[in-house]
Amino acid sequence: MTRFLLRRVLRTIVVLWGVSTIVFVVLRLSGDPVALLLPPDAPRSELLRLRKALGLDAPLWLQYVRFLARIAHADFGESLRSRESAMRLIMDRLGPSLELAVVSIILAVTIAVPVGILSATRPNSFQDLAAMMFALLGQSTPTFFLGIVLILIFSVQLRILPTGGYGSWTQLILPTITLAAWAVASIARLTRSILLETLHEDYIRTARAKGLAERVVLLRHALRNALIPILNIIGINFGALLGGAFVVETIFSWPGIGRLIVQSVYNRDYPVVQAGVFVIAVGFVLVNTVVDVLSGILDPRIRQA
Amino acid sequence: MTMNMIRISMSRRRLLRHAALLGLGTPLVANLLAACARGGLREEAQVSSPTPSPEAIGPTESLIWASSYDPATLDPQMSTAYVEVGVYDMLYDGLTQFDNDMKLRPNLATEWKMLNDTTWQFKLRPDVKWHNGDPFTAEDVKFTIERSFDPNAKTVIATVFNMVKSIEIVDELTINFITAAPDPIFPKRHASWGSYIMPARYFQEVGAEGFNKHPIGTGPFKFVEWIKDDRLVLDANTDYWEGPPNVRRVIVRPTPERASAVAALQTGEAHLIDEVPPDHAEKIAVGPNTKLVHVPYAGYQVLICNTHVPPLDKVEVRQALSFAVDRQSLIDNLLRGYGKIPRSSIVPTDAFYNPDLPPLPYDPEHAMQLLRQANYQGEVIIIEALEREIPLVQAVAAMWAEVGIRTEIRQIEPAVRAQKIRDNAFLGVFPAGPGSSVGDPDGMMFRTMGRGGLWGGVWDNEEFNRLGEEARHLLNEDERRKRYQRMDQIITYEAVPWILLYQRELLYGIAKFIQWAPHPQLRMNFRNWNLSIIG
Repeated sequence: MTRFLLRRVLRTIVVLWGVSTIVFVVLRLSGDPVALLLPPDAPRSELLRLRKALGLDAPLWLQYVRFLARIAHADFGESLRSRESAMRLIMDRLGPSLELAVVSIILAVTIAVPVGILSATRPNSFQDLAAMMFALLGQSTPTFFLGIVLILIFSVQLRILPTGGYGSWTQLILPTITLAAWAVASIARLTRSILLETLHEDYIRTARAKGLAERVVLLRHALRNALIPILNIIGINFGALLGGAFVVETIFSWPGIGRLIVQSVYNRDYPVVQAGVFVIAVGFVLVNTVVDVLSGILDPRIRQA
Repeated sequence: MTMNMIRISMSRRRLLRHAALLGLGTPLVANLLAACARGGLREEAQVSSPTPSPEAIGPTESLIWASSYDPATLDPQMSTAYVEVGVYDMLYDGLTQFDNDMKLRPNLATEWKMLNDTTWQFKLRPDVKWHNGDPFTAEDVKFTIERSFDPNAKTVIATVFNMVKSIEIVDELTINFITAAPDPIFPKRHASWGSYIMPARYFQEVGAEGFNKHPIGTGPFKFVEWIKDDRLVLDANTDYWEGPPNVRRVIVRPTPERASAVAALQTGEAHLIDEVPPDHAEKIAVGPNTKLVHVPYAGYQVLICNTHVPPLDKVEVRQALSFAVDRQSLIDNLLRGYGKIPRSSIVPTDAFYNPDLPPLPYDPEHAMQLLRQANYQGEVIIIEALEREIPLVQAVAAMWAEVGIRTEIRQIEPAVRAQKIRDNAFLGVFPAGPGSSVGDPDGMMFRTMGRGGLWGGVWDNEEFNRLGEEARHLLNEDERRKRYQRMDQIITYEAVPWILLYQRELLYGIAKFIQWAPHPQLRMNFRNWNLSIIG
C-alpha cells in the first residue's frame, strides 16, 4: 500500500507539472491581458507601461522560471484583475463547486445505477427501451438548453424555485438536476452494458446452476464485478463535474470554480487560471486515487497487482 | 485559440434574419431563450399572474441589481469596466459628475475656476464625512490623484490625471492643480471613470488589500459585505451630503447569463438588469411587473480599417465601405430598432457635436463608383471579430458583397484582439466600440485615433494629429470647436480610417415600481434624485 501511494504521489507531481506548464504556455502565447484591463481610450504607451509594471514584458522563459519558483512554494501570485491572491480566489469557490458536484453525483448515482440494473435484467423490454431513450435524451440535451428550460418551467411559470444564486437549498435544486441529467445518462448506460456483459459470464451460469436465487446472483455476483468500471466512470464524472460545470454555474449564477476559470481565461488572468487548473487537477487525481483504492477493496486482483 | 474562418456564402437577407435571430452581442443562451419564447412559451409567460414572489421588495427595502458579471475589485483605481464603475458610483464620489445629459455638475467640489493657464482651483464641499466618520478634506484629493499615476500603485487609470505636474493644498477645502500645459477639460476629467476620491488616512492605515476588503467612500451607499460571484451588499448612507438614497439596501447579484437575469426580473428576484439583449426588450417592456428604460450610449459601434494593408490603403475603398453600409437595416435587424444612425465621429453628448450634420448616407451606387475609381480588383478584405461581433460583421460583409467587395471573416478571442491592438497587427478591418469618457472629442476621437492613441497606428494623418494636439491645450472654445469639426470631417468623410455603424441604446429592465433613469456612460446613479420607489 505504501508503494502504491508513493507511486501515486510521484505520478501526481508529474501530472501537475505537466498541466501547469501546458496552461502557462498556451495562455501566454494566445493573448495579452493588459489591454483588457485598461480604459478603452488608454494610449499605447500606457499599455506598455502596465505590461512592464506587472512583469509581463519579461521573456517567456524568464516568466516560466519565476512561475516554477513560485508554485514550488504554492504561491500562484496575484490576480491581474483583482490584485488578490489567485489561490484564495479559487479556494473561495471550491466550497460551492464541491457542494454542487457532490450533490449532483449522489443524485446521478441514485438514479442511474438502479435504472441501469433494471435495464440490464430485462434487456429489450419496454422499461429498458424507455430508460435508455431517457438516458440518450439526457446525454444529448445540451446543458445550457436544459438549464434554461428548467428555469422557464419552475421559476418563471410555476414560480416555485429561484432562477439562480447560492445559499439556500432551493437554489441548489435546478443546477443539481441539470448537472445530474448529464451524468445519469453515461452512468446508466455503462451500468447496463457492463452488467449485461457480466451476466453472460461463466461464473454467473455456475452461480445459477448452484441454484442461487436470481437476486443473489445479480447483487452478490454480477453487480460486484460490474462495480469497478462503474466506479471509474463515477470518478471521471465527478472530476468533470468539479471543473466542467461552468455552463451550469453561469446559467444559475452559482459562484463556482469553473465559471471563475472560464472568465479568467477570457481575461487572460494567468495566475487565476493557473491556480484553478492546478486545484482541479489535484481534485481529479485525488478522486481517481480514491476510486483506485476502492477498486482494490472490491477486487483483490487489483490490490495485488 | 482556434481560429474559425467563416466564409460568406449566405444571401444578405438570410444573413440578416439569421443575425437577428441570434441577436447581436448577446450570449448564445439568451438567444436560445428568445427563440424558445417565440416558439410559444412567450405568450404564456406574459399572461402568468403578476403575484410578487416572497423576495419581492417593498418600497425602501433592498434593490437587487442582477449585474452581467461580478466586480473584480472595489478599488476604484483598478478597473474601468462598467459593473465596477457602477459599484464605484455607489461607494464613492468624484469632484465633479456628469448628469444624465452629460452636463457637468458639482459633486465633492462645489465650484472650480482657472487661476491661470495651467492652474485649476477647486473648492471642496464642507461637512462631508467618509463612511467611517472621518472628515473629507483636500488631503484626500491630493492623495487620490497622486496615487492614480504613482508607478508603484500600478493602477489602470494612470493617464487620466498624468497631465498634473503638482498639487497644492491651499487650505482644508481648497486645492490647486498645476498642469504641465493648459488643460481646458480638466474639470471634466474629475467626472470620468477612475476619478473617484479615496480616503487618504483610512487607505494608509489598512493598505490596498485591506481597503479592497472593506472599502469606504463618501458615496450614497456604504459597503456591507462581498461574497465573490454571489453578492455584494451595500447599505444606504443615511448621512449622505445629498440626502439619503430612496432604497435602504442595494444587492449586486452577478448573473452572467442574461436569459437567467431576464427570468429573475420577471419573477421579482431582481429589480434591475443591465445589458438586456434586444431580443428580450419587447417582453420586458410589456411585462406585467417590468418595464424597459433606455438611453443612447455615449459611444459608437465602428469598424476600424488598418490603412496600411491593401486594398484599404486606398482612401476611395474605405469611403466605398462606408457608403455601402445600410445602417438602418443593421439597427432594425440587429438592435431591434434600439439605435441611431451616426452623423459625426463626435457623440451627441460630447462638446462640439454638430446636430446639423445629416445622418451618414447609404449609397451603394456611389460606393461602386468609388471602387471603380480606386481600380479595386476584388482583393479580399479580412475582418477579424470577436464571437459576439460575428453577426454584425456577417451582416456588413453581406452588404459589402452587394457592391462587389470580397471579405473573409475570422473569429478571434478578446485577449488576441487586445494583443493585436497593442501590436497594431490587424490584417484588415475590425469592429470596435469606442466610448466617451470625458464628454469631449479629445477623450474619444483623438485619444483613440490620434497619434499614439489606442488605434492611432492604423492610419497617419498629419492634419488630424496637428489639430488634435492644438485643440487639446486651447482655452478658447470657438478655436477648439473649429478644430474638432475639421477633424470630424477628416475622420468621418475624407480619410475614413473608421466606419461609423451605429449608436446603440443601452437597454435596462427594471421592476415597475422603480423610477430610475439610465446614464449614457453606463453609470449607476442610485442617488435620491435619480432613483425612487413608486406605488
